[in-house]
Amino acid sequence: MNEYEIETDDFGLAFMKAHDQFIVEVLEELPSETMAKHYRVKVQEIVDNGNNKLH
Amino acid sequence: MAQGLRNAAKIARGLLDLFHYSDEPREIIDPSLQLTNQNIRGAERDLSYGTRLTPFREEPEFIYKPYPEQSYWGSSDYSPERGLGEFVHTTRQPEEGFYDVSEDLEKLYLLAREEVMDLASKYDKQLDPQEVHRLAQGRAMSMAKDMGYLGLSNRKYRPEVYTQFNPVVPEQVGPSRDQLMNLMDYLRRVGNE
Repeated sequence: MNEYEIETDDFGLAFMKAHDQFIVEVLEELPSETMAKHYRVKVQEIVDNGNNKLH
Repeated sequence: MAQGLRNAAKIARGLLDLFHYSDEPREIIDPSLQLTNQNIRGAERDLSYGTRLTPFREEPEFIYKPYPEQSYWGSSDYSPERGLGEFVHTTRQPEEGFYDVSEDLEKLYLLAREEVMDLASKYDKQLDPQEVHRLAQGRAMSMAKDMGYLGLSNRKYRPEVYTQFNPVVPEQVGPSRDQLMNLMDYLRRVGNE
């Protein structure tokens, strides 16, 4: 399992949360004055033994 | 009664009323102008940037820039943020024309991540998780555009926000949602002032 923190908007967050191999925790909502919300998130990405992404 | 019947007919046809906000009236909502908004910065602006995959000074250079231009629209439930501008433009679009990223039934994000990783490997480029996600998100969005979708929706997490890939001629324009008028009427009125 790879674990990292990134910034993303709400579309990017939704793309990750649509798939089981990404466990996403929102750490902080970042300031935005546009229609896109932005977040700092912690991602746990599940990878298989061959280091290939699971589908 | 008549309004209720119109709404019922609209829902039956799956049509969405969408609203775009800007600081001035526009005859066309052009996605290429999205990044001219002064309030767009940081990670939001970064999303549109490409990444050079070839080494510095190597020719021909290859810049991977998958993010598709798109304009942002709110549904009737959307309350606009302060920085958007108060001018309202409306359009009506079929709901099924928008790709729901919160389901991602076509697994576009996964396909896009594979493409990004393959390109990084091909060009021996180290990408950090932030770059991989940013490029994969942009590529997944462009795949939805290539499949013929009008734009994107996020039904689970931001159901009141949509994007559209193509330029849109608004049906109505006005200084607020209470003062909308046909675009041609608006242009005539402005021309007479």
